Amino acid sequence: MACGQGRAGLARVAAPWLLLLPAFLLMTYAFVLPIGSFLEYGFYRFERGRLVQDFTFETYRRFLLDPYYHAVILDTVKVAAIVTTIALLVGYPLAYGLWRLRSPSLQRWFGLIIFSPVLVSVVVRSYGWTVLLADQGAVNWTLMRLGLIGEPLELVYNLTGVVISLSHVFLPFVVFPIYAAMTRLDPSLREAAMDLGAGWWTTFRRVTLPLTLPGIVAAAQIAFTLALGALVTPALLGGGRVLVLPLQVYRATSEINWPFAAVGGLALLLMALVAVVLSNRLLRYAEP
Amino acid sequence: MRQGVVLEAVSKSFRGFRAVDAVSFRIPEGSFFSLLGPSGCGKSTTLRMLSGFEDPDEGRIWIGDQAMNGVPAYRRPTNMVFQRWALFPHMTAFDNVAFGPSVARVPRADRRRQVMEALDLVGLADFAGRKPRQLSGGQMQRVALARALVNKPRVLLLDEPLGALDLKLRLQMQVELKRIQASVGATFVYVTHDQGEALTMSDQVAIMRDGRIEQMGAPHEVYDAPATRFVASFLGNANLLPVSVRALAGGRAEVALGTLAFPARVGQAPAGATGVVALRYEAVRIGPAAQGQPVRTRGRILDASFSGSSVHYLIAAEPGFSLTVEDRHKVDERPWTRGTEVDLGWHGDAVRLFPEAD
Ligand SMILES: Nc1ncnc2c1ncn2[C@@H]1O[C@H](COP(=O)(O)OP(=O)(O)OP(=O)(O)O)[C@@H](O)[C@H]1O
Ligand SMILES: [Mg+2]
Repeated sequence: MACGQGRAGLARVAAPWLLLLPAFLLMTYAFVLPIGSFLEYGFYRFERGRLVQDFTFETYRRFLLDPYYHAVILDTVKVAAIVTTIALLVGYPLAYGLWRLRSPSLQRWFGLIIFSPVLVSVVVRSYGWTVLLADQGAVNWTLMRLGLIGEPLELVYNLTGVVISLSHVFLPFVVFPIYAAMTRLDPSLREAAMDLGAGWWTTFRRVTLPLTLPGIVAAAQIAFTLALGALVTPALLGGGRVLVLPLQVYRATSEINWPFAAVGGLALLLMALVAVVLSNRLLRYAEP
Repeated sequence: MRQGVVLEAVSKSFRGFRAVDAVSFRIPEGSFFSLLGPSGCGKSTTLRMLSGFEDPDEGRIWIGDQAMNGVPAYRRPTNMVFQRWALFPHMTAFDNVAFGPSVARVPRADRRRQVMEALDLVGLADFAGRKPRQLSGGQMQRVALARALVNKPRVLLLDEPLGALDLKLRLQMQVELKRIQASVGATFVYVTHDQGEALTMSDQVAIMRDGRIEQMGAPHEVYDAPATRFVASFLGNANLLPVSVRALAGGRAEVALGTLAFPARVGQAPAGATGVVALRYEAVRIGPAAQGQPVRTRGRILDASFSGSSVHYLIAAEPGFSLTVEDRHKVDERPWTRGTEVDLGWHGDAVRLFPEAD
C-alpha cells in the first residue's frame, strides 16, 4: 500500500519534469551551449581574415568604443522602438474594433486578414513593398494625383521603408495579445463606467485602457524583440542605409569574423533582455 | 406632472425572441419595487432598459417627467448595482466609489467627503484603501452599493445584488438595504428570483413570466390573492388539486374533490366544469387545530419532514387525494408520526380556483 502510494507520489512529482525534459534538452543544446561558445569566441581576436585564439578584450573594446557601432546600436534600438510604437498605435485600435464587432463570423474573417502578413514569405513581402513604395509606386502615385505632394516621397531604401514593412508584419503579434486582453474584460465593467456617467472616452481611458495594459505590454515585448532581430527586411528595404546590428552580425559571420559576430549577438540578446525586464516592471502598475 | 418611474407598453426582442412583452407599470417616487420571476423571464432586460443599456423596441419609459427613450446610460438619473458587482479591479474601494463624482467633476475636497460618507453608510469606511480582490463578497457588494449611492441617483437599480452571498449574509443585507433606502429616499427597483427577498423588502412586487407581468401589488396582496395559477404556485408553496366545479357565481365557487365538496374563491374562472384549486401548505390545519374550520376532512400521514421552525406532512386525505400540509413546530411538541390518522381543516377563503390549463 505504502509502496503503491509512494510510486504514485513519485509519478506525480516526476511527470512535470518528464514533460519539460525535451524542451530542456533542446534549450541546452540550442541556447545555453551556444551562449557559452559566444562568450568564449567574444574573447578571441580576428586579424587579417584569421581567427586568433588568445584571450583578449580587444573585440569588446572596439565594439563599445567605436562611434560606428554606437550609431549601429542606436539605429537598431531606434528601428525597434519606432516599429513597436507604430505597430501599437495601429494595432490597438484594430484590436478594439475587432473586439467591438458584433458578428463572430466577421470577427473570424478580420482575424484572418490581420494574420495574413505572416502567411507571406518575408522575401516576397519585402519585394511587394519595394514595388508599392517606389518613386513610381502606387503610394506615391496616389499622393501625387491627390495633389498632396509635388515630388515623390522617398519611402523605400531607407529607414521609412524598413519601418513600414516591419510594422506591417508585426501587426498580428500586436493585435492578438491585446485582443485577448480585451476579451478577458468583464463586459459589465464598461457598462458600470457608463452607468456612473462616463462617456466613451472616459470609460476607455479609465477602465478599458488600464485593464488591457498587460496585453499592450505583452504585444510591445514581442514586437520590440522581433524588430531587434530583423535581418531580411532591413537588408532588402534598407538600401544599405539602415545598418542594424543583425546585418552587422550577418556580415561578420560571412567573413568568418566569429569574435565580432559573438559580441554583436550578445549585445542583441542583452537589449532584448533589458526590454523584457523593463516592460515587466511596467506590468506591476496594471496589477489588480 | 409625472412622478416616479413609468413604463408604458415596453417591449424588447432579441433576434425575434420577445424577451420583454408590452410591460407597463408605475412605481411611486421613493418606493421599493421588486421585479420577481423565474430565470429568463426578462427581469434583467427590463432593468437594463431603465438603466439605458438597452433601448426598447416599443413603448415609452419615463423617470419623473423626463422621457428616457434614446437617453444614453451616462445621462440618466439612475445608477445600477450589478449582479456580480462589476467593481473596477484596478482601483481601490475609495477610487471605485469616487468614479462617479470624479466624472461629474465634483471638486476634490467635496468628492473625498462624499465618498467617505457613502462608504460610511455601508459600514466600510475602514476599507477605503483596499482593492476589490482584498475584499469579501459581502464587502464588495457594499462597495458596489456605495459606488451607486454616492451619485445620489433618483432611481437605484439592483440586479440580484445578493445572489452571490450566502444565506446569513443575504438576510443581513436585506435589512441593511431597507435601512439605506429609508435614509437616502431614492426609488429602488430590485430584480430577484427569490420570492422571500421580494416579499420581505418591497412596497410593490411585480411577478414576471415569459416577458410579461402576471400580477402586481403589495406583497401581502399578491400572496393572499394570486391572480393566476402561475403566481399561486410561484409565491410560497401551494397544493394544486384538480377539482370539478359545481357552481360558479361572482367571485365564489363551489367545487368538489372526490367526495369532498367545499367553497372556493375564484382566482381566474375556468371555462369548463373542471379546474384546479390552489391551497397553501400553511392554510391547512392539522389535528386538534382543525376543529372549528369550515371545511373538514380526515387523512393519514404518509411522510413527515422536520425543518426546524416547521414540519411538512404529506397526507393521503380520505376523499381520495393527497396534499402537503405545513404545520408550525412548537417547542416540546413531537411531530406526528407516519401512519397517524389526523383531522384536517381549512377556510374556504384560503382556496383559490383557476383553470386547469395554465
Ligand atoms: N443580449 C441578448 N441577446 C439575446 N438574447 C438575450 C439577450 N439578453 C437577454 N436575452 C434573452 O432574453 C430573455 C430574458 O433575459 P433576462 O436576462 O432579462 O432574464 P432574467 O429574468 O434576468 O433571468 P435571470 O434570472 O436568469 O437573470 C432570456 O431568454 C435571454 O436568453
Ligand atoms: Mg438577470
